Amino acid sequence: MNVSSVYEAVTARRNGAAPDWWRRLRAEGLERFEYLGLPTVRDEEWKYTNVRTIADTEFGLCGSVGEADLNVFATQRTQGIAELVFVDGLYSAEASRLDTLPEGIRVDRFEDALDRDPDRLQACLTRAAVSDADAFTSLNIALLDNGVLIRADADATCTTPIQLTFITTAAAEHALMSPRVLIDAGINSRLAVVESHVSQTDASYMTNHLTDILIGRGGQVEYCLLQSQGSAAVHVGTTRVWQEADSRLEAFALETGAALGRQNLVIQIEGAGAHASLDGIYLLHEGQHLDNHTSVVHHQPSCTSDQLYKGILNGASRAVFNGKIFVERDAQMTNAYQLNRNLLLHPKAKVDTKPQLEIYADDVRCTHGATIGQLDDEEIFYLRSRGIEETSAITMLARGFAAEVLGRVSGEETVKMLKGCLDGYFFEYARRGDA
Amino acid sequence: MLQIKDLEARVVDGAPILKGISLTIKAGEVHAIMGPNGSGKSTLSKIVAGHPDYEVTSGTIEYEFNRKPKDLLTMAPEDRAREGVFMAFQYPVEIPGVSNSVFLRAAFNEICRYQGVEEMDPIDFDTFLKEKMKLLEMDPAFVDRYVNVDFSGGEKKRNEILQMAIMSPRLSFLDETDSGLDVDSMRIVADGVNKLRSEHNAIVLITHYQRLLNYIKPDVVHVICDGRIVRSAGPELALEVEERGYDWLAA
Ligand SMILES: Nc1ncnc2c1ncn2[C@@H]1O[C@H](COP(=O)(O)OP(=O)(O)O)[C@@H](O)[C@H]1O
Ligand SMILES: [Mg+2]
Repeated sequence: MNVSSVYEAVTARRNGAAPDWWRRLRAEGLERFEYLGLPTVRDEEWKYTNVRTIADTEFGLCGSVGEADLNVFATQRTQGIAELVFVDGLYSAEASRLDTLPEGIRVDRFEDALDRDPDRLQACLTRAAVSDADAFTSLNIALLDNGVLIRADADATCTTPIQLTFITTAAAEHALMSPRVLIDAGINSRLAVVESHVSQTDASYMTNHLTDILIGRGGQVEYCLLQSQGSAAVHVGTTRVWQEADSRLEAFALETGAALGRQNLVIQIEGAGAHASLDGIYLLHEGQHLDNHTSVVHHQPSCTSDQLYKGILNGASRAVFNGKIFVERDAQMTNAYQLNRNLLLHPKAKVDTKPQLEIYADDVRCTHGATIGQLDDEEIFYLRSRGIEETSAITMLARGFAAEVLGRVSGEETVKMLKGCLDGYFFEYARRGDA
Repeated sequence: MLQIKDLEARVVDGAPILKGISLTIKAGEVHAIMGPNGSGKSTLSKIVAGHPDYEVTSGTIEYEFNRKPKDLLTMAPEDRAREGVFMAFQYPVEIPGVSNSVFLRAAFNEICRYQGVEEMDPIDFDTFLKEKMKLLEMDPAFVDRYVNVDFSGGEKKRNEILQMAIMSPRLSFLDETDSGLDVDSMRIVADGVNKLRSEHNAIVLITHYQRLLNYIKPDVVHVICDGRIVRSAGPELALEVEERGYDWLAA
């Protein structure tokens, strides 16, 4: 991959129409990326996920934008209060819809934010130092172009989800998309956001998204990420969260697509009394490789974090889970819980799971665990003995396995969408049989 | 309805468990099977239901309905169930994450589909289910709970008979459905079973206790010892077993 030519292409597309700080930020991102280079399996964070195919592919910007059929994605989007749609990396005004938002809630594309509130945009985009960014995060920053800033003023509430939909079409062959999302939830505000990465093509392309979520004191954010990329896609994504005192995060990820996927979720709990729940389901078929890395850093006392990730693997597929909990010295009375469970539906499916705890405070309660197992033959027989055909029995049990995680999602619209996505996976499972 | 001939079976690659069982059951009949622990009663019913752990090394099982004889041993467990063969498990299986109503409706609809009858929509099924639950004096709250999870022993057994009521099988093996039930629960379960009895279907009761047979009168009582039927007689055999145990029969 020739990053500097993609970098130039992004610059050319903007035709110089960007403030200085924006250009400096991108230049810093590029410098950082070139310094780091793409990770290799010798890198502890990338031990089980080989990204050589990224290095070997000539990704560029999408030349033309394809025609997206939103109906195809009905089950992969919520009927949110507003929907912003990006097709092959570019904003689609026709497909997007912005209903009247509640008082104090703003949804702006970066173009609009640059006009209306450039200072706020700059503050959000530069919240984290580029010098701390990893390779893919710096790559996203280097290629900064399109994105959305969602803001909630103090006390503003919007619990019907704001839907962000990123679609790729056949026109995205060999394209690299770098969407950027900023969610800025003010003091005591409430926001629900669903970010869907969906595809209607088997073309090979790459998405590298970066989402930053800032939650002010007492704020609450429900954030749902759906990754349902095309079967030949590479999907890399990072969501970073900063939480102030007494805030609440409910993060949920459902990942079913891409040939190669890596999802990072990094949560910094920087104020006392905050809570973060981070839950996820990953569903794999033959040939897929999906990697989840989560990290929760407890900096302040009396916070809780609760994490449940479950994976279902069919065919020769591979999942990686790495969950870290850091409890810093001042974070007394932390209560942190983490569990990763995996269900293998096929003898060639494989999981590498590693929960990690690093605790520097003494008065804390932390538990973590990981399991890898198969369906219980007695349960399958029980269902079959009631006339339920074997594949349906397996589906029913696997759904039951996933049900616990879904049960933790509070948004009704979001739950409906997630159930639709699970249906899709099991429909495909039944179609393929156990291969 | 069911004809078992010289059935010999074992756990796949294990020692023999059934050592030549022959049993003929006709429509309308109730058979009781008694016998010491470990004699092969559950194995027999699980083989009839098609449990994959067991391997039949010789003998046949023929199941006949509407004069169409079928070789049960070549059929998948789900097809046996759809054809009307039912087993109430001695140890009902817990299925976390799957609600009782989803499970029961799936089972019911599978049978409808197989028999070419229209499936029931969720609302009608709910009414139908509640009616059957009343029959077994089950709390309607059980429909929303995960299958058998955190059910008491007696609740699990009632849930088995609920499944029987919903699937209306032609041939039912009830494996120690009375074990662990208090007197009241046993009466409720037995009443339920009696209501499901008809001249068209047959029931096999596996039990240790004469008590159940006071409620559900058997036509024939068999005693199994060490994988063989050692005695078949009328209901009086159950009384005799209750009094004298099994030793005199095993000898
Ligand atoms: N799945 C199995 N694996 C190993 N042994 C088994 C299995 N099922 C039954 N057996 C053995 O077969 C014998 C008969 O068991 P079972 O049919 O459960 O007896 P009963 O129901 O009459 O108490 C016992 O010795 C038991 O240990
Ligand atoms: Mg038994």
